[in-house]
Amino acid sequence: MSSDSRQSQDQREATLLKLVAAQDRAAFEALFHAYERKVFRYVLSLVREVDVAEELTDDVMVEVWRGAQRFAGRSKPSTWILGIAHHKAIDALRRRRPRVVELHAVARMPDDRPGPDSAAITDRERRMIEAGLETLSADHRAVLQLAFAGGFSQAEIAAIVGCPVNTVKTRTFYAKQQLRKAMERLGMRREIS
Amino acid sequence: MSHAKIAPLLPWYVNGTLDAGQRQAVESELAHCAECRADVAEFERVSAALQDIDARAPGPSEFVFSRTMARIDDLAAQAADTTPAAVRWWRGLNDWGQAGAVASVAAAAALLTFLATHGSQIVEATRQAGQPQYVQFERTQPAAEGTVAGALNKTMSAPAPPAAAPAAMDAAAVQRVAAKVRQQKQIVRTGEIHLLVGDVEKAIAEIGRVARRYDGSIAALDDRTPQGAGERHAASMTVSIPAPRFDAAMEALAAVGGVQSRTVKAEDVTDQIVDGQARLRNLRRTESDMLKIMDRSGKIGDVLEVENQLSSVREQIEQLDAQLKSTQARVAYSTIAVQMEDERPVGGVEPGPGAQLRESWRAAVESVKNFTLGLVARVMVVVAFAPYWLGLAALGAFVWYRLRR
Repeated sequence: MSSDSRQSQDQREATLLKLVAAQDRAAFEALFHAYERKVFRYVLSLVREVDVAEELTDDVMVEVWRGAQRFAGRSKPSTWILGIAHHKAIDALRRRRPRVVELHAVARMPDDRPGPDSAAITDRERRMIEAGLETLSADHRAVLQLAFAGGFSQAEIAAIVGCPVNTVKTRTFYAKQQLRKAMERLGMRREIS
Repeated sequence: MSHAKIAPLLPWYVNGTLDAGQRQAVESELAHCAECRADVAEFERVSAALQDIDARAPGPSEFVFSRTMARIDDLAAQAADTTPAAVRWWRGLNDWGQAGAVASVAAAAALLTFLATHGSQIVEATRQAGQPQYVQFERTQPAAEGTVAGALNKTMSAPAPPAAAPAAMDAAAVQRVAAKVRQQKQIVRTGEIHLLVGDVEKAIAEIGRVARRYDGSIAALDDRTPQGAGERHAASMTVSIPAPRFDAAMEALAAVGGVQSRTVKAEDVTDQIVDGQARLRNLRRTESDMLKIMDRSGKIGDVLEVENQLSSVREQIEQLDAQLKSTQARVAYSTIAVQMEDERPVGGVEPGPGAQLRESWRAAVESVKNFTLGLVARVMVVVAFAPYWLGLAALGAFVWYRLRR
């Protein structure tokens, strides 16, 4: 997406938000349809459970409706909305029992659905990276998800996650390191088995 | 740019968010740096995997949309709802919440009203406890030593009421007081005595004998016979005793029965009498002067005028004379008021079990009645205070509702 079309998209969404602040239902529906999948996928990548992700998506969009007045246009609508999503997901993770649930969730992730083939990596590689991603902390997974699946810049990610840009830089660096270590461990096990 | 500066930019090169200048710098670094190229390759693999996962991920179900819109509608309805925040809060409470809210408001109200009605009493009681107590002793001069009043004077060490308190006693003042006491004082003594007796009739007779023994007489008698069971036979008598024998008579009367209380009052009327006598002398002199004027003057007009004034003067003389005589009589004869009461109520037999139960029932009913009246009184106070605690409750509810939001 070119920066110009991005800018105009941001402006459009900002206008919609203003209308939502005035309790415009139609404007809210438009925003909802624009962001439902993005929000859902993002929180799913963190909480790893479809039910929880759906609930959170619902919560996030309701919060968008309630908080539209607060959105002063200082940030981009996308970073604002995904910021809400990020914080709700982190809260949800903090509240529930860690680790054990995630393993079950991994089993539930529909893995075999036919999806677009990716020429950049092999199937095996993809599964290894996926497994490696499971082991990352939520913060690390978040930056990687936002950077590569979301295509956000460092500044945007900083706005979403609510930390300084330098932190985003270092977190990305460490996330990659963790991933590599995890994949090495997995890779070595696979070689043996 | 150096390798160290380029390395952190690599992931952002891969996701395409670098600006033109940065991108160029990275590309020129990649041209000759194998490490960077390896890093880029790694990031590209990660990126591809993440995008793939994303693409394969399930979408949210349709229910999310309907659920969200339903909640939105709720919120919109709430926002349009003009009922005051307090009413909405109240409706939002479950049964326990409502009960709890009412209970806590009632408790706060009860506490407030208790403090409001009793607070001043508590403050006053603590204040009074700290003050010295004065004994009310009705006499204006120190009484003679050998008398009852004098004996009482010795045993009571409290100071006299401030109005009659003498100034700091120096030696000269003490001498003057002693001298005065030795002079003849005109004191009116009155006594009061409450007795508990075994037989009222016998006591009345005995008191009569005491009065005669001390050269006194019975001035009044009031004998009240009891009307029904449970009442006590009571009587009161007034005894008149010559002043010098007052103390002895009091002692004798105290012996008639069990003394419940005894009071002696001494009123110094010396000044009253002395002044009265002086005025009387003046009036008499005026009277004789007027008579002389009448004798000397020949004119009818003058005589008539003096006659008028004379009759008024004579009227004053008569009044004053009668007053003086009455006071002097009171000085001469002291009065003792005797109240007596039978120790036991009529029908001295112990009430049977039936009567006792009836008595207990009556007492219980009485107690319930008093309690209910007290409760109703307090409820009325709470209702009267409604503006205050309603205001507080509304404020509290409003604050809490805002905090919840």
